[in-house]
Amino acid sequence: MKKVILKIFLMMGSSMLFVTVFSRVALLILGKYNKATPSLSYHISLLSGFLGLCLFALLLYRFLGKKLKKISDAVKTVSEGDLNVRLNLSGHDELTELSENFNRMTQGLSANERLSREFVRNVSHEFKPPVANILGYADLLESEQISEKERQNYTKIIRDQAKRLSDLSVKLLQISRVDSDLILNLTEHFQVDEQIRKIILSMQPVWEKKNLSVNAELEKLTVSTSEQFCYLIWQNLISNAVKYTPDNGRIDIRLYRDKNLLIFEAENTARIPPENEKLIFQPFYSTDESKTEKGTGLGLPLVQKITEKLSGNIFLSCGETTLFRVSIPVLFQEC
Amino acid sequence: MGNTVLDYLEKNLTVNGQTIETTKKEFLLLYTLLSSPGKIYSRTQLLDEVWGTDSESLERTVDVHINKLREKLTSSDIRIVAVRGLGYKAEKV
Repeated sequence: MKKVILKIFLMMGSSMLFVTVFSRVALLILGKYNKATPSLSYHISLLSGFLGLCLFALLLYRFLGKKLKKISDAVKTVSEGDLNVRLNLSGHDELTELSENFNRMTQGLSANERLSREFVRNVSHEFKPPVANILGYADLLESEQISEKERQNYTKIIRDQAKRLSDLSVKLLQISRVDSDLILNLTEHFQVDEQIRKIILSMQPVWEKKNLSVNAELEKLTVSTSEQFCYLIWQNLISNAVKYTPDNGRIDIRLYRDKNLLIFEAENTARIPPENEKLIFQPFYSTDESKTEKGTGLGLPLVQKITEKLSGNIFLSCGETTLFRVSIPVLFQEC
Repeated sequence: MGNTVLDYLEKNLTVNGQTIETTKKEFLLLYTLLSSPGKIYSRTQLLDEVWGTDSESLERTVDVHINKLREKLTSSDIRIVAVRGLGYKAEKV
């Protein structure tokens, strides 16, 4: 608050100056008319003191009070729901700094709100096709003239679509939980290499069917961090790698320690065009439009959210191979 | 499986009609691997299955027992394969 205090001192100084000048002038004038009695001089001093204080108050209001009022009004407008408020304060002191920070804040909040609304719009968009399918095929099932084969087929389709909706809701719940779980349980420690190994092994039927070569280089590490959140990160990235690597391709999973960071790498022989690099983390974005096996489109946004929550970093490199690297600061337990 | 028979009740391993001596742990290890032929099991999973989850044994113990098993299965149709970084699997040759 240095600049503001400086200003206050200046105002006090000016007021003091005024007090001295005013009393001097007043006494001088009175002296001319020989009315400079001690009693009158005393009253003049009081008066000039009082006027000086009034001047000080006026200056305070003009240079600080008005600004504070503007800021206060802006905050009130935001509290009423309007995020489009911006402050325009002149000067170079801390109050101007406050107004600039306020503007940054409302701008950020507006952007967040826009993203939220877009997300909700996208989610409803994703719900429509499966629901339409279920209703459509249910209608067809009501017909008495369909063959047994058709009946079985339609029933399977309905079940698949319902599963799709279920997966979507699960993912949405996971995403909202990342936001609301304010306190991470960091006291439990677990074997993170085995956690990853289990995920890879659980998908063995899938990657064996695609004849993928899966290489795991996992350093034996025991860490203290959120086991659940880590599980979701590995599970989504590995599942994506298995899903999107073309047949006969290769997946490399690495886990290692770098000082206080836990580093996880998933590299595979799928190719993502570099221009899609930024878009890939957007909800519901998909590189392969004609996919038969559609995912929820929320895996990567979830991974990004969780990584942020754990104060970690996620890195993507697109080229000959696709590489995802997640680094999280953790507490390592020495075995 | 092929020319090899595992008798769970008697804890017997027979290859080509000949009975091969196995310790209880070795037998259980092979049995676990063969419960799903071709499925890869991690060392930790094998430790939990055969030695129990509260066991103090190390993953190294699994490796040692696997090697002993391999020696005993040289004329068997069953092969134990090590998958780098992941674990072991048993499959028919």
